[in-house]
Amino acid sequence: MRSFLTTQEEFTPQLEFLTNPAEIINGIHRQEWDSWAAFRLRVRAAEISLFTGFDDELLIYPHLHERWRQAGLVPYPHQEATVKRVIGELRGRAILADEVGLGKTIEAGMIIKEYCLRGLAKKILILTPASLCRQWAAELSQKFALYPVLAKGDFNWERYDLVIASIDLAKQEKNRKVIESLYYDLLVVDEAHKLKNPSTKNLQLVSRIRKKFFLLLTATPLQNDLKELFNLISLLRPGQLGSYRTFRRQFMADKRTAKNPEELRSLLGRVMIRNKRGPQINLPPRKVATMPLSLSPEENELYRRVTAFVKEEYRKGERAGVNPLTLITLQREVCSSSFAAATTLFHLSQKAGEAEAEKIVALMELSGRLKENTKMNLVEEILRQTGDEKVIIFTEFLATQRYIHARLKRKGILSLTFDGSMSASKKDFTLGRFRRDPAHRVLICTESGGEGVNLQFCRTMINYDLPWNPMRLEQRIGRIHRLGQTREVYVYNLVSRGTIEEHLLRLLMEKVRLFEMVIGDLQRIVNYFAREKSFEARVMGALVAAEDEAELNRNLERLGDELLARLTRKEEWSVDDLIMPAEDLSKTPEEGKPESPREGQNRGPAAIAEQGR
Amino acid sequence: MASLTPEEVKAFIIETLKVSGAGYRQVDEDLLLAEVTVEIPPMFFDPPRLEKQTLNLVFNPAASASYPGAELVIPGSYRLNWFIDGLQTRGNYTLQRFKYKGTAAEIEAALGTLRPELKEKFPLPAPEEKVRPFLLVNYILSYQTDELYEELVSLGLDMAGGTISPDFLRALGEAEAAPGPPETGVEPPSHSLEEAFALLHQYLNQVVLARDPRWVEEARARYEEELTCLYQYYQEDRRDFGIFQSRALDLYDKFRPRVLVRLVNVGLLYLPVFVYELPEDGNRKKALLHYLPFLNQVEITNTREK
Repeated sequence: MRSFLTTQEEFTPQLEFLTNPAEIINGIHRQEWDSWAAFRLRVRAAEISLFTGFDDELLIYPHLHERWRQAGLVPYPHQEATVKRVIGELRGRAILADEVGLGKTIEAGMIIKEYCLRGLAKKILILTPASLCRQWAAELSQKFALYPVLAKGDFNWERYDLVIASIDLAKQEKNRKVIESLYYDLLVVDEAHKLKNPSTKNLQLVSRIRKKFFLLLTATPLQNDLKELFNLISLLRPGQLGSYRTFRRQFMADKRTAKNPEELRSLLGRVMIRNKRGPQINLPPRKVATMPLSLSPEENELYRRVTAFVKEEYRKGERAGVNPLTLITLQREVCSSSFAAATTLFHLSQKAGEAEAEKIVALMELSGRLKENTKMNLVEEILRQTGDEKVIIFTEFLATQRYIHARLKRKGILSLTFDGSMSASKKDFTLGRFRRDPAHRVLICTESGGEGVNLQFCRTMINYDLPWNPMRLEQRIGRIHRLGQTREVYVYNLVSRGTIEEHLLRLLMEKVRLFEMVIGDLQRIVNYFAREKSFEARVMGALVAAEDEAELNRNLERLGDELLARLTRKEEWSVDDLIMPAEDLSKTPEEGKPESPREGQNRGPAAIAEQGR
Repeated sequence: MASLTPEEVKAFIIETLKVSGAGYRQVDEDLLLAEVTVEIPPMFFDPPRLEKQTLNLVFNPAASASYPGAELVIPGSYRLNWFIDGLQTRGNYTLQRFKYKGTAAEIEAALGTLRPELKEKFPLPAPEEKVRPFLLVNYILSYQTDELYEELVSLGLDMAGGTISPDFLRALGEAEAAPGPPETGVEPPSHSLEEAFALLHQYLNQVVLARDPRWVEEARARYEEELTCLYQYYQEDRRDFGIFQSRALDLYDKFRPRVLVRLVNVGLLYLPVFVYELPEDGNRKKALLHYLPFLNQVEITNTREK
């Protein structure tokens, strides 16, 4: 290995006089004399403002003591340890890779503030997805007395020192040029897993920004393959894992299988910090209840006929008049609500050929005749039982969201809707209202709307429909089951009997035991589903290949077996395997099994589940 | 930021209030009420204006809970920084003269400690009292690599003799100052102000070179480690050599040792000098003894072997 030695001259301290003596001499000639007391006080003020170097004590604690007391914020020991390690041992360059909900933003805020107080960071840029900009600004101002400027429109990047920008704005050509010409003391990139592809503008921008300290935040540093991990680490500290050729030779058996894990683990540990839920970081238990319900005969007929249509078209393969992705969406929609299915059926009818159009119009008419969905009866029952508790209802589809909103309104229950199309200010307003206004106790949220939002003041969630990818389910639950949550969390999964959702949920709950992996290695399964982009297609394949329910069940069983086999393969590494000590790998999910709902509880989901049958 | 006790912070705030002429009242051991004038910036159609405000200040984090609404003033807090910022326009230049109030016996005792050989000549004849001009300049030196350390350096340049005394402000202690120059007895300066600053800059260079070099050596080791790491990434692809060079330069900028010198304030001070004429003694001729009591310093001139 070549080492670089510097010359004595390169490291001879250079004095830079920031004040011109001529100006001082002019000042003396102007005879603007002040008192001796003022003179000494000025020196005392300078003395007080001195930065006297690194020591183990963090400056943020005395500085923010009062603010945190008023806000009820008490940083967790793992957060303090993370800040100390980043500032000390890791020299301000780190990937903060805590599991979802363990407070990466708080850690980053503490680091930013600490650097500011130590006089080491003044010009700071925070890049986040657009939907999280305002949340970052609120966290920094409320918890850290840092007042960032949100970049938008024709922004003056040179003028402001602490800036939050969406990465999409920053990479626009005119902005990119200016940002790349500046020097930042600290660059923070949230949701950094979006930087894993080196050919994207996101990664190129972040790579080119000149910075002294650098934080990357992501809960999923390793998803698809080891090359992505290499890219992320190399972005942070090029050379930490050598060149890609060296890395491939030394550490990759294939794109998902690591070799020399001990050595790799040691290298990763020098740039990455990952806190996980466990004995040291406890969250309140989560209780998950499956709420099966029987569809009305009309709904059943719609489901049956739409499924038949989807199967028929899907089997045609390339000859089908309808895109297979649209068919998967339609199948998921009909599980969600008749209104969601009607929307897609309408669009399909506009484009379909004559033969298909007739069938589609018939289905559309059938869905149009359904004015109510049975699922809402169950929702109303849950809302009745939960009393004044704030409740979040998640759905994947806007049409379903609108229906739930309208139905609740008819029943005199005020609710708020929250989706990805809303402006940032409207999102803020809606969340604020949901949090503070007791009259609005229900928030109906779509997937895209809920991304990255913190709702831990609320502890009850209803999954009106189930995403076919469990990673998204986990992300939904992570909105309320995170640090700051002080109470038990209740998750209700609504499932219509006889639909593919019922089979899928059985697979996830009984076979994969998804919901029990609260403390166990949930990340492993989340990673699996994140990289299995075709998982939805596999589920669809199981559905299409089945002639009846029993066969569908068998098909999904086989898929579950395959999935389990993959998950238990020892050579399949997750990021936790690579950065945790080896002894922790022996832990099984069973060890983290949460308390199961007690029977006969009045308030518990088990009791409601019984009533839903 | 320097670590200060709550008492030290409170003393600083009270002193600042006194110097700025603001009213204040110590309500109890913890709470201080201060009446200050703040500048309200222009807003929409309103021009900037000055407004009186009453600040409720506490200094002890443990006590702050007992005074809801009061501001906690601690190192790094907004309010302490506000006071510090407010002082930026004050105390930049001062012109003071100092009077020594010690007795002849106290002076002889001090001289006896500094030069024991003089004791046999006691009692000395009455001295001539003169005044010597000094240029006091306070600097902040920021030692920067990827880390930062700052220190305050207070240098006093003897404008007559050209010597520089470190820690000058501390040496003056609580000496009583009076504004303005003395009317008589001033020793003529031998340096212009331009020359004086050049001498001070040279002196600062020596201060930096004399400093324990570990701060540079450690930064150098860290830089070499980072550079080696960076090279690992680019070593196999010559096409990226330009990027490697530019990144290496960025790294060098991060780690190279720099000392930023910021001037805090400047004082022209006149310090008393007691000049004694020492009688002939054995093989020594007559000599002049200059004693500077505030600096606890003795100079003997015109000494020649017989």
